Amino acid sequence: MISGGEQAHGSSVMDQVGDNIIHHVSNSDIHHPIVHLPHLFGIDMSVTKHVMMLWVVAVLVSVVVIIPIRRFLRKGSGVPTGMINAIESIVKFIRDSIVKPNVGSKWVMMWTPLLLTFFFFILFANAIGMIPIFDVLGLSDRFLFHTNPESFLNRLLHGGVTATGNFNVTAGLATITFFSIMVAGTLAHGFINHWKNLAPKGLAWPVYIILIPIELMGLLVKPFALTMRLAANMTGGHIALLALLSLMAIFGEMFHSTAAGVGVAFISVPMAAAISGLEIIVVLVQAYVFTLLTSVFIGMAINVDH
Amino acid sequence: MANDPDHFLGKSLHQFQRFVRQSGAAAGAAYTLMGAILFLGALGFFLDQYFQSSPLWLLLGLGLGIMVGFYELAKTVFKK
Repeated sequence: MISGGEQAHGSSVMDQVGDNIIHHVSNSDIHHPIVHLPHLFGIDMSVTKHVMMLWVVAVLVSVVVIIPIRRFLRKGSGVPTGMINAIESIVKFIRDSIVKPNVGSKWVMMWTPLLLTFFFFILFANAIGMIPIFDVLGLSDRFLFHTNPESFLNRLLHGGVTATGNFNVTAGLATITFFSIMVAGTLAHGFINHWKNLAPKGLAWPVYIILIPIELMGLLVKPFALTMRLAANMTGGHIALLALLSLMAIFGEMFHSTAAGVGVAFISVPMAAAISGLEIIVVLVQAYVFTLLTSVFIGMAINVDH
Repeated sequence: MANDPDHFLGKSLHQFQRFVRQSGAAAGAAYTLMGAILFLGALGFFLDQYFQSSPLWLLLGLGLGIMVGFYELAKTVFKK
């Protein structure tokens, strides 16, 4: 819990615990990135932990989903087996139960690839956050390797691993959703008609003075809701877990007794295990909800009925 | 098994798919309501900090957020 070498000596556990939790769920400090890179157009291009996790997720999605599908298609065998069977079930579920009812039969094959990409990417990014890779590394560094604070391994230990818990990542995904809504509406109705469709037809002109700004704000609010929802849900679960586990250190210090800390562990560890179980469901549900909402918003741009 | 409509697993899966189809629009409206209040409220908060006019812009933002959110909700509820 309490990562070594960074706390101010002499301060209480209560003072440190909040900072440690935030430190754990947040990205690498910009002054301690994993790989230092120069600025480009005024932007620091250094690789932080969340950036690295995004690359890891991209590789994982390729290895687990894209490559097996390519191999299956190349083989030309009609009957899927093993991993392909599982992937096929997910693809069919998303296409038939999420995309088709929302965007309609005409556009289903156009938007399914994007929504499947969202689903698999978010699912893997969420799931990898549940695996305590860097905590294990931190533990081994503390007791075995004792690396230099500036070493690559030590830099890996700053910040959390759930890339989808970073608001910039979810904002990036929501930006794709925003432009997809625009493209879907434009392809279905033409550029001018798409914008005309924003507000209902046949109303008195003074109503449009209020309605058009409300509709324009509604356009921006949808991707914002997607951004906040995913990042907040993924961060919230990890904070709850860490807060429960921190109780051991807090009680130990409060009663100046190791026994008190160990006693609380009998309650806090099973509760943390239960929340971890819940988090496994959250991992799946969040990927599903993002896909569902994107498909609903794209569908609203295609099937306009005020 | 899951493809057999009479098997309990098949029935459950079809029922689940039906719920998914029906829940999409409601989930979208609910999240848009929450997002509108948060987004415009936050915008108002930052404008207040910039213009030193607290709580004028925050209240305006929250009011506008409620308006936009409920408008989007009404669009879903009163869909033709």
